[in-house]
Amino acid sequence: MTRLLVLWCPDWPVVAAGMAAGLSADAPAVVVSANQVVCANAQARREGVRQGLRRREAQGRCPDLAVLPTDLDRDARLFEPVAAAVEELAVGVEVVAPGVVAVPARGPSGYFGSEESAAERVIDQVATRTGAESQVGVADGLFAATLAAHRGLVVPPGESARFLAPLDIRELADRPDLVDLLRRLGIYTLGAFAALSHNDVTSRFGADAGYAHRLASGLEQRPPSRRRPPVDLSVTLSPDPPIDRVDAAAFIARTLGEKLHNLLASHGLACTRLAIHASTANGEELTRLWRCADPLTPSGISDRVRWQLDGWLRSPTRPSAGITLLRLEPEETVDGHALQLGLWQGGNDEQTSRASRAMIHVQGLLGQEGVLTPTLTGGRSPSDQVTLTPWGDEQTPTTSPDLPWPGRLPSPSPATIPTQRVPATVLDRDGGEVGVTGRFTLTSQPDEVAVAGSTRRVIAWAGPWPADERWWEKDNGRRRARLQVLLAEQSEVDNQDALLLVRENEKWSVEGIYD
Amino acid sequence: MPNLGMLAAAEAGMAVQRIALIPQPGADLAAVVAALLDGFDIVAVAANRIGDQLARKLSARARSRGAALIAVGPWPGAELELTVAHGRWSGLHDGHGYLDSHLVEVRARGRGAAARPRRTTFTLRGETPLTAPSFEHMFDHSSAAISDDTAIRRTP
Repeated sequence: MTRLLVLWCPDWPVVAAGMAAGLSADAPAVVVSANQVVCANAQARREGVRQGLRRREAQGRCPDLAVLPTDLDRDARLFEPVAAAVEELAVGVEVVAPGVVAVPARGPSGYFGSEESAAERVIDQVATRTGAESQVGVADGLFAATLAAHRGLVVPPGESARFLAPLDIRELADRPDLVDLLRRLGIYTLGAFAALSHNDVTSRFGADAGYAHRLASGLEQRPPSRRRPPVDLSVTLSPDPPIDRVDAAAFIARTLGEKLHNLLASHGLACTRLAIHASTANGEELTRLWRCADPLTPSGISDRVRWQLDGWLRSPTRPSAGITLLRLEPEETVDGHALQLGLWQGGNDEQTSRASRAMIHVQGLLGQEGVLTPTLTGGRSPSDQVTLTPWGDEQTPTTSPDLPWPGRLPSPSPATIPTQRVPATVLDRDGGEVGVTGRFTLTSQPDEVAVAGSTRRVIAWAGPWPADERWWEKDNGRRRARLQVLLAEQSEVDNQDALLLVRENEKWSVEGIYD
Repeated sequence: MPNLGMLAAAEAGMAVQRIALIPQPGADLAAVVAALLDGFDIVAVAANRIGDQLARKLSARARSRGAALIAVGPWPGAELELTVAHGRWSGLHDGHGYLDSHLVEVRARGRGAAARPRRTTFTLRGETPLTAPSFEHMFDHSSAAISDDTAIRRTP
């Protein structure tokens, strides 16, 4: 088993978010996702803020807490300088996750005399180059080395199982269901779990628990019979024109990820360790190894390509020319049926793939923002109820359309929704403008509507329907009133026009045209 | 068509997750439409100025791919032209009610089998999605049926 030196930056999401927001490092801060604390720094923990706490409760415990959003891309980008600093001292740097890098311990410990002095040098190097706090652990195997890094320990060779035995079972943090089950069975330490027979664990709890059992026993997660893939599985791309912008890099990353994944899938393989090489016209090179516990999906591959290029192109030591060569090399692969779901997901029938090829083609012509796909979301106005996302991005409805939205008009909805504000004038019988009072009643009955210079008579109308949205937020609150009007036809064959008008800030405008 | 109301499309029974929108096709409209015809069964284009030659090329492409090309606006050499006239709304009154149903008269005129101009009226409602049977029903009473390739043919 390889002896690894792992450098761990405590609370990296908070550190990265603080750096991005320009906060000082000793202010209490947390990173939240979906209103739950994902990560808190030491100052926040001292005030009693814990992971998993509700945002409001965290703010209650520590009133001057800085609450920052979660952003995996930002974490990865800002981590790039740390990985580069470690790389100056040791070869074979692997980024495990933003916040954690691993290097084979043999090289640096031989060069600096001992593992302890190598660890010290690495910590100093990272602190002087990037200002980030870090801890180092050395042990056999990645899991033991990562836990050793959390404690700043050097575990002697062959002692990994002894080191892990007294630790809490909850250290298997990415398998909360299994941990919960084991604790209810009375297994509280990794040692107690490791004492069970491997075959029993696998047959009773499944393959994933089997992997966890290997970790707890101080072994590598997967059996060492990993195949080294033949060389021709690498994917090379020479972008023309050279990439020098981040959005172009993201676009390339997606196609490259798909390509590599399909190539591996056709060999029945999936990738667990990926090397990404990039070089520029002026001969600068950047190579990074990405290690992943679970086999990489196409989007996982493209995320890592994007993170790496993003970090490089935005760093102070950014390359002097555009990237002209990109190479993805799978360094370690596992059998593809470990990734059955990822291989078949997304309905790969012939029609879907034909349509996605066409959309990629159009995105190539117009840019990624050129092709949009709609999702229905919740809201009151017809334009709020649809969200457009660039094709290929994840479609996550921000609000559910199934919630009650008081003030939403019943179907049918207007078929034309102006993209720019179209001002309108609504007049009553005496020629004065019709207004809406603070209590949402019309000041007089509408008789004529003028839109874009043409005035037409109103033959029927209904409303106003009030929509008082987000009044609890100081700057986002909107008070609107909607009115449906039916305008008289101009001749016998002409269509009657039905409009949805909205009044906001004392002005009428056309929100939708029913046609 | 950047101002297309997708909510109305969903209410008419379209599966919005199977729709792709290209709001700004840019200067090279023909290349984008040609690429889309390769991948999609139905492509709708809002083109107010398209040359005769280009229109013929795109129509030929659509025919060879088995796709339907729907132009919003005039299209030189179209197989079938549908226009809506005489639209009348009901459901809205003097200060109360909601827009409810839309009675329209659709006029069809085209080439070949559809050369004889014909007209029919039907009612559009929000909640009841337009389905093929409901279409057939609408055209039935005027002794015509609508076939899959959107060309109207006469039934004996």
